Amino acid sequence: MKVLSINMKSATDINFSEAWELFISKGNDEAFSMIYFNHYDLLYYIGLKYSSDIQIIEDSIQNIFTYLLKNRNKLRHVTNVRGYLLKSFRRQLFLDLKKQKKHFLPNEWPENQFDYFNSTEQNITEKEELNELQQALRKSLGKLTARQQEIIYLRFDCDLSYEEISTILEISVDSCYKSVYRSIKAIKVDVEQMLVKSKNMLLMFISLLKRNFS
Amino acid sequence: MNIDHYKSFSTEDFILDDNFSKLTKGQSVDGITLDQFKALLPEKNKEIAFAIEIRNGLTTKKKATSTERKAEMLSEILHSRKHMFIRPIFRYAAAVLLVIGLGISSLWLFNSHNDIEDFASSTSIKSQNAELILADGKRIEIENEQSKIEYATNGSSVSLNDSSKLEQSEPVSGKCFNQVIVPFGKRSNILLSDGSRVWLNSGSKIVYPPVFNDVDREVFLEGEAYFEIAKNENKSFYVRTSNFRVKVLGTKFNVQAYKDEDEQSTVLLEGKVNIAKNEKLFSKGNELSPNQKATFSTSKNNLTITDVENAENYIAWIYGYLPVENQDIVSLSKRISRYYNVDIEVKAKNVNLRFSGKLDLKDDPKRILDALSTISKLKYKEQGDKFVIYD
Repeated sequence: MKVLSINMKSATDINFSEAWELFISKGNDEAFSMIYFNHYDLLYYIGLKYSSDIQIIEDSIQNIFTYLLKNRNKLRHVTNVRGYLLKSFRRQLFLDLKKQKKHFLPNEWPENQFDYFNSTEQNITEKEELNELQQALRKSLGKLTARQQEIIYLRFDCDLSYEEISTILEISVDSCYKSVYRSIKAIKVDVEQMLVKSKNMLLMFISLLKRNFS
Repeated sequence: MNIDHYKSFSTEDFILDDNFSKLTKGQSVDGITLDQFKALLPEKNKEIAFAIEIRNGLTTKKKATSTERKAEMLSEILHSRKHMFIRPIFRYAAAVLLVIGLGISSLWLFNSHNDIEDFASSTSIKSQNAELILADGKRIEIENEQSKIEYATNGSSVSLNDSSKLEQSEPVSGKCFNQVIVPFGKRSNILLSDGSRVWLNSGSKIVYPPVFNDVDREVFLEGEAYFEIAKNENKSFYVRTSNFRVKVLGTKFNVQAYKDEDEQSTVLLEGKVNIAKNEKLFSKGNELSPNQKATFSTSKNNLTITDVENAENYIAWIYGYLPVENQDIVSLSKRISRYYNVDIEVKAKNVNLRFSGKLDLKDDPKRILDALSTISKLKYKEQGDKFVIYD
């Protein structure tokens, strides 16, 4: 069996758990602000994957931090602050999105609307510049379920640890890892096939190698 | 990093591997960079190239929310709590408003500080010469070992080395920043639009608005600088570093805040300054009297104040002298290497030796090392493009 080097815990979380402790025990504003400023962008980016409605995303962020402030005495110590915040934020966002629209068909549930390459972040010219491999990759990602895409996104774009992802999505670390492994394998096979269909694989790699090794 | 271990890797194994992730992000693992990694695994070049493409394709464009917007929302969040506690008591309403007002203005302050820091971190040393960077990102190289930059009071016309003149569009007060970057081996002398003078030492950068705003005067420093601040009782002058903030009205002092050193310090020559840690936004800070030195230790996260015998020593570098006070060979060679932009490696075992005195920096580095080896038992040799000090 191959052994991959995997860090289960992210080093940055250590400081946050200290700040968290300071906030829940003493109501320290600086600690609270530090947690807020250091997580805002991440929450916002993840929100954008579910909705292009910036107003709702901002409201959801504000709602969870207001909740934390008001319920400070009820909060418990958490070791994984980032995971905890993301979990609460997702819940809040889905709640807020559901409030906005009363009736949903099952495939319209906000949970199922994860869009890896959200259109609000990309402009058209960029799409044109994508090489064939990147285009194939996007197609292939689109074939995964919303949940699989989200796990890949949290792992590879947000650089979260498996432990954090398992906290956020409330699944085991093991199934989280398995999902990442299967998705990556599927993407790789899929992309390879698409490229073979379109043109000689060999040519593709020659151009790839040139780009990466020159 | 065990390279053999990667010889059986498939494309997906590379993608999933944490060390590989770090390499693709430009970090090195156990001293090995991505290029070296590729070179060590020639038989895996195809898989590695494919893995890199997939990893890159999985990252998406991100546009961060402005600090202003974040601060604005934070103040609304904090506001909601204040309401919760005091709402029923109407006679305190005025006090509540005041508290909120203070909160918002301090957030605004906090935020504007970040802007100046953002500007500082967005640029790095690129040239062999000192560079002046204007608000629109234009970079102007200034030759000479000791460059001179002087602003007129309106902030828009700048004279360089007494010879050339430069006009930049009328700056909006306090909103846009200029920056001077001095590489190792060079120094610069800057006259700010308020009449304050700054001597910038080697390997340093300073960010400042071409004209200061109506409320205060603030600059951001990374590295070492000596300040002679023009008196203005109504507008405090702040020097911010990554760790602390010095507040002054009109005085002379030196600030040392190099990124790669654990200790950052300030020494006061004349007048009075107030120094506070950055994180303590609302604290009163500590007052410093002439011939006192405040030192901030990053590792200990504390600020200590000590008396120094001759504060003039600390600014000797502006005249080309390096004051040495009870320094060991490691930290001394670090300073020499910074000043001359040469690499010095210390291989000596006896590092407990301490030096005190004054080094004439106009000489070339060899003569300094000659002097050091005559007064101590240390020897040095040139090895390629660096110097090695040994027993």
